[in-house]
Amino acid sequence: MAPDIEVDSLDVWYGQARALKEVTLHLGPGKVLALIGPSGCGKSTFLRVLNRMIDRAPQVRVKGAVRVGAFEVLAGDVDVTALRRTVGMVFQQPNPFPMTIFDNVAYGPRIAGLRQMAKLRQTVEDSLKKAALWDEVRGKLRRSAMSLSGGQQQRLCIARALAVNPQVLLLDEPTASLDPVSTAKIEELIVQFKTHYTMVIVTHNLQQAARVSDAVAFFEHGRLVEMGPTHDIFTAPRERRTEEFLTGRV
Amino acid sequence: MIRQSFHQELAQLEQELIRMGALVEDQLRRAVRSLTDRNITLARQVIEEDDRVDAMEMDIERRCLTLLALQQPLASDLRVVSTALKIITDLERMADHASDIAKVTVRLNQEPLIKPLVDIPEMARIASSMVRLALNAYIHRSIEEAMTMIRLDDDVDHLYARVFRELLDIMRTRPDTVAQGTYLLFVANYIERVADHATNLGEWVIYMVTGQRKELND
Amino acid sequence: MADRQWRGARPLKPPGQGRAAHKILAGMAVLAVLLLLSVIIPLVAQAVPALNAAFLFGRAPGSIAPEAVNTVTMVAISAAVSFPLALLAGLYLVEFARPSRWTRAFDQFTGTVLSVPSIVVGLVVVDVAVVRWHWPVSTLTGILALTLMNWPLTVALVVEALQSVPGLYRDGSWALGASRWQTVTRLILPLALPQMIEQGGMAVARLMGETAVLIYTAGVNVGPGWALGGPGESLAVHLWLLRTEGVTDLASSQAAATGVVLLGLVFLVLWGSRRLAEWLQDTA
Repeated sequence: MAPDIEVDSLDVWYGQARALKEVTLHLGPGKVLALIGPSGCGKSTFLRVLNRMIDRAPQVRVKGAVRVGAFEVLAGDVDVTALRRTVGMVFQQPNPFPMTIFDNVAYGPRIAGLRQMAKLRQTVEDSLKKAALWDEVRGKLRRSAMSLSGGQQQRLCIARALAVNPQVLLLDEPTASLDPVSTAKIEELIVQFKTHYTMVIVTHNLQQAARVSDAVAFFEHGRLVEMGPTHDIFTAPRERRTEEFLTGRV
Repeated sequence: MIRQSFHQELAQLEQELIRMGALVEDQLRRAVRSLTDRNITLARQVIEEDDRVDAMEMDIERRCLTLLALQQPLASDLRVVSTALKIITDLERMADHASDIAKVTVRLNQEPLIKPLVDIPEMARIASSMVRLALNAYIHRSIEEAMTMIRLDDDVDHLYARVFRELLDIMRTRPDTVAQGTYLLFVANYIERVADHATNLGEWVIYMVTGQRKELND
Repeated sequence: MADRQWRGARPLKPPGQGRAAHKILAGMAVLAVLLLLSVIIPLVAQAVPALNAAFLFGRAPGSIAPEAVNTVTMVAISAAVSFPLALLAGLYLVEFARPSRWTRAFDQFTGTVLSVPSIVVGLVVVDVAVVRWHWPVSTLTGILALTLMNWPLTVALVVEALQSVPGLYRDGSWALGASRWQTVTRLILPLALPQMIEQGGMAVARLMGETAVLIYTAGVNVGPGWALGGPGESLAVHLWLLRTEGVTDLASSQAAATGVVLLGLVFLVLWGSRRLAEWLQDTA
């Protein structure tokens, strides 16, 4: 079910600026990869390549090969819509649409053409349950999503992403704007999702990366400096640059 | 240097650890001297000093736990702190053995020795130099020094086997020596244990430097 | 001491400076309302003698019914033409086009036209439509002039309304596999529409009061019945004419009455568009 991700010599330019240089890595199915590194190191760019959200950046050029399961992500003839349904994304700032809770979760399935109310209801309920939000919003599905707290909004966004049945989840600093309790809930979800979804998470919280991920990739100046099992990277990284970043001796 | 205060605390932690190591090495040396010199006063001092070692262990342990909780160190910083936690346990055991040896001195009182002590002081000399070498390896972050030190353990084991045989022979031929012989066997055993703990220190130093755990004590 | 301070817990007052500023602003608002009333009340008072059914709805000369019809139809048709076109242009600019030399040129053009005095637009329309194409001075030419004048403003307000929808929503929609078109129709437009309608109402209200552009294009006469090719004097133009060339004794009260009618229409448009916007906002 969950696909693997394979990236081969990925280069990304924004105009003249090179955002990623020769990034090559492989992530096994159902694994969680945490991307760490200083701001502007290219980790968010890398994430946005995986579901082609990078396309909307101005003057962007992408080179290399990226495969997510059966998708040749960078191929000219790839079905971007199908790709994005398979590779869901959760953003740094919770971005529920200003509509009801129900409509938020139903948005994706409706876009995909689902019209039957009974099925929509079922999908919405299942997705909210998976995102551990159902107990808090049952009976209030007609309320505006904007009435939810920040942490609930982020879980709603996770439910919205799950509603289109993705196999991969990309999380771009999903807890950066949340309080510790909401953060813990999201982290718990990520851990529970393991094996069901292949996940890539960008985070500035190293302890969070340590808690939720199976593998860690350290980026700096657009290069993948080092990738390895989480335990190894956090106790004994191979590269001096990683060591300096992790110990704050930059 | 971003996390300056944290790294200062780490440096302090290392200083404390080295001080504790020096004290333990001293304890060991004085314990064996109290036996060879039959100096009960010195032995009593060693036994009393053991409390100081225990206090230091607790102090360093508290520092380590505080750093882990508050600073959440990673990579080499994490290894420095976790290594410190393990090393103080080994050091504390060594100090216990020094105190045990001192207790034997007290127990034997002025009873004449069944044989002149030759190999036991030699074992002790090697063991305490192992402790010193381990601390140096720790200070220098040197795998080579740690490996050199660990090799000395073989010499200690060798001597231990010899002392064991000799004492057994004596006890077999003269049953009246069994009591003292057993005490001396204990002493040899304590020193052998100290050398093993020193080997552990070396392994921890190697882990701290490389991140690899290797079992070198066979 | 502390005890006494806390005993009567009251809502916090803004600090001194804020309170002063608050008073000044409130005072200015009251002043503005008073000024408006000081214009409206004498106007209404002056208009009363002329405000009767014959004047408002009659078929006899002197009634402003044809002018009212001209105003409403010209503005309505002009808005009906320019709004969809502006919507398409705005959608293209904001949602589909990548920023390029062409979109920048368009922005510049819009900005320039917006700042051109309306009389100039009127003269250009006369020069092209009336002189070269031999269109009559009529409702149709008036509609053309109004549309030309209104178009850049409408595009600008559409663009602004679309841009006021946060990019985060677009990201969220695209990440779910929605196309640009789906994102626009299902998410962005429903969110931007209330603002477009409210500001569109203001644009329409402005058109209703427009004179300069209409004097030479739609003319200062009315025909026997309404026709696209017939003369298309509007209320505002009629008002202007009465004021400048008024010959009858009733001129000033008729002018005031025309003003009141125009004002009423403007308020109706503003109020209606506001209500529609609110209703859309609530159902969204």
